[in-house]
Amino acid sequence: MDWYTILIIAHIVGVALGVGGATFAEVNLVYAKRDGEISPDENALMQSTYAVLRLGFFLLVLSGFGFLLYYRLSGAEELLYSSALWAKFAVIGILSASAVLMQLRLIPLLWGSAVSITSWYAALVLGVFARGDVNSSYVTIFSIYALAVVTMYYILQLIHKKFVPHKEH
Amino acid sequence: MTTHVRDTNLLIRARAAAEGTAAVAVLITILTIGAELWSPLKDTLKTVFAHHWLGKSALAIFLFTVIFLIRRKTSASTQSLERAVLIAVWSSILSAIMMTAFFVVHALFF
Amino acid sequence: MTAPLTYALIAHVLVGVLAIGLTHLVFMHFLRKTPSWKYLRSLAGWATIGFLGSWASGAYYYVVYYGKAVKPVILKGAYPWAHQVIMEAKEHIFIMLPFMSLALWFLILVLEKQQDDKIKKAVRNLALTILLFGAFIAGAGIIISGAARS
Repeated sequence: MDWYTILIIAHIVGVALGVGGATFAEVNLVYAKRDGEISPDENALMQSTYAVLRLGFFLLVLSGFGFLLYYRLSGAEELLYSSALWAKFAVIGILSASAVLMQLRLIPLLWGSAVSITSWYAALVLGVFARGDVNSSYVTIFSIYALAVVTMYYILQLIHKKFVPHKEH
Repeated sequence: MTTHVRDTNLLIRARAAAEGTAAVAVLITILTIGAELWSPLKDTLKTVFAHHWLGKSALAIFLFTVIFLIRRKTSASTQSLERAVLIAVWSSILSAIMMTAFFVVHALFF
Repeated sequence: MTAPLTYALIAHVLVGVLAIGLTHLVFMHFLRKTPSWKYLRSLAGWATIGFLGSWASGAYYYVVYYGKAVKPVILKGAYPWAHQVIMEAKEHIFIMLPFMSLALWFLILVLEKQQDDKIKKAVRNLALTILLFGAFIAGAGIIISGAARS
């Protein structure tokens, strides 16, 4: 098994844990808030989901830098300037910043959740395009991402309105 | 009101480390910009340390160690520790900004 | 590039990223209501060792190889500013990181004995600054590597 294959596997595992973790973090949150309060068991489940999500994130970042090194050492440096790749970096940066802001309670939960889920799925999609198959500009990619975040916010708002008791809003 | 930490040695060492960090930030800024503007400085660093960047690294380690060892002999409080960390943070940030700005100007006009 | 130089570059990047990641964990864990000081102390200690390791391996690669083999390629290429600005800033900002990380470790040792709100705020700001520097340095490394094409 060569290094590239190992990096692919590690990166896919990271994305799977992260995307799955982010998805289930939201599902668990809505499920836990359905009866109006979050029990200790529900909180423990969400904490374990966040732990898996963090593990996925670090695996993603570490293997991601492994890819960058691979491109550098195999003479494929031009890939390091791909607009999709830099959009992915920005998305990951926003994801990190959003996690910090949520921890500090500086952004509303729904916006934080919208950024989290959208960013994870965006990272997955951009990772496929970062190999240079798509030539969209950074601005185009980012505009689509921003629109996706706003759309996700309203979707989550609808879901919370439907499943979470009104006093929670 | 000054609050005294039970292990005051730890407080003193933490403050000394913060002060050493601030000193390193100032030193690196001076050496970096100075070496670019005054070639004898860069040449001296290269001659003594084989490479100018190795010289800056070595001098940073030396200065941090000296500051740490000297400041360990003075008393500290939570207020002085908080102040030292604030200075370390801001001197690092200002150092980074100044050096980056210098290299931007240097690349554009020299 | 020889094998030792390749390993040095790999070590510099991956160990550096790990150190930044550990500092991120320190920052996030620190924001909890009841952080585990022993855990924080361990994370910060390993982050400092990571920055020192990245410094040493980067120094070897930079001094032995970068100046004569990579820098001329970047300067002659389409993105000379990748060295003139980005690399110059990166290589000097990096020097501050191990000391900042060591200071952070000492501060966590202090907080383990006594939780003072002002020192907590100072720790939070220091960790955040290390993270911002780390993010800049990581991004700078990617820009520089991408510019190193003949």
